[in-house]
Amino acid sequence: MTEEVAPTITFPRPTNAAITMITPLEWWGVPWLRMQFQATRLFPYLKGLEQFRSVYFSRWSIVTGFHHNGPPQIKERPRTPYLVWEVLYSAETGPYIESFLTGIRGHIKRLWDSSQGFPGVDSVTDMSRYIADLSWADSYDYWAYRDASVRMILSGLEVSKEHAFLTSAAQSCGPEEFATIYTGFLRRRGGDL
Amino acid sequence: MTAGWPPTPVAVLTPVLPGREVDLVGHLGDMREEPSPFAALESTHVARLVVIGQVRTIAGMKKVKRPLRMRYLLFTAVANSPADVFLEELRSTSGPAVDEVWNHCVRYPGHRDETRFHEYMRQNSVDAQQTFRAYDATVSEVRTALALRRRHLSFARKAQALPSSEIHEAFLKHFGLSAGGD
Repeated sequence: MTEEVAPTITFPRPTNAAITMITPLEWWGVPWLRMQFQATRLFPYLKGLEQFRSVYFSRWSIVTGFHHNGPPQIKERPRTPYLVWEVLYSAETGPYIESFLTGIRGHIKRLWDSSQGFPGVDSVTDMSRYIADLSWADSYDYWAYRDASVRMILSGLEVSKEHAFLTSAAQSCGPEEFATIYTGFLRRRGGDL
Repeated sequence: MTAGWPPTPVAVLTPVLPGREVDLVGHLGDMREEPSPFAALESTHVARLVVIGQVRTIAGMKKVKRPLRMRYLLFTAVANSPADVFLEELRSTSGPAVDEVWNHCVRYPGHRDETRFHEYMRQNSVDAQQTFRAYDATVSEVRTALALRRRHLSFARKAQALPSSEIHEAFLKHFGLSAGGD
C-alpha cells in the first residue's frame, strides 16, 4: 500500500467533540513516555487537565505493534512506535488548543516532545496544524449525553450533591428559615445553574 | 454495568479485511442514521469507531521505512465497567450490530462464539498508559444531574420574582414535595 494520508479534518463542532491523534515516536520516545506516565500515576496533577472544565475523557497509548490474527492480515512490523492520543472535549477546537498551550505548555511539551515533527509549544498555529495533520476523523460516534458540555455535567453533579439537603430542609423548615437556606444555596451554586 | 465502577476506557484495534475498507466506512456512516447499538448499554458514556492507516509524513519526521500496509479499525469507548464486562454487555446486547461492524475485520469470529469473541477482542486490545476523566459518575447519574440542574435553573429564575416568604411554598410545588415529608 502506498503511504496513506490522514484525512485532513475540519475541526469538529463545538459541543462533544473528539480528536484521535497518532504520532510516530523518536527512538527514545517509549522509555521517555513510560517515565512520564509513571510520574503522573504517582502525581496525577501532572496531567494538568483538572483545571480545564472542557475535557470529558482523555487517554494515551503507546502502540509498538499489532496482534497478528492470521491471513489475510499482513504481518506489520512498524519501525517506529506510535503515541495514540484520544481526547473528548466540549469547546471550539481553536480556543481549546490555545488555552491548553497557554495553561499547560510544560505538560504538552513533555508528552509530545518525543513525537516526530512536534513543532513545540510556542505557536498555536503550528500546534493546531500538527494536530490537524496527524488526526483521524471518526466514522461513527455515540454519546450518551450528546448536548451536555463538561461544565454542565460538573455543575449538575455539584447541584445534585446539595439537592437532597435542600429537599430535606424544604420539608422540615418554615418559610423564613428555608428562604435563608435557599439564598445560601444560590450564593454557593448560582454559578452552576 | 458494574456498580460503583468509574468511567473506564476501552480500546480495540483490529485489522480491516483488505478491500473492505470503503465498505466499512460506508457502513459506519449508515450507522449514524440508525438507533445506536451502544444506546442499549447503560454503562456507555461514549463510543467511537475510527478507521486509521499509515500516518502522514510531515515536516520534521523521518522517512517511513516500513509504512503500514493495512487499515485498522480503532474502537474506543468509556464505560462504567471493566473492559471484559463492557465487551460482554456489548456482545450479548447488540451482537448482530457488532457483527455488522467487525465482519469487515480479519478473522472476526462473530458474537455467537462467546469464548472466541472475547479472545479476539482481548488479543487486539490496546492498553491505556495514561487516562483522564473529569468525573466519576455513571451515565444515569450524569443524566439525573443534568435534569436536576435544569429544574433548579428554572426554579431559580422563578424565585427571583418572588418575595422571600413565598420561596418555600414555590420550591415545594416546583419539586413536587410536601411540607413534613409526606
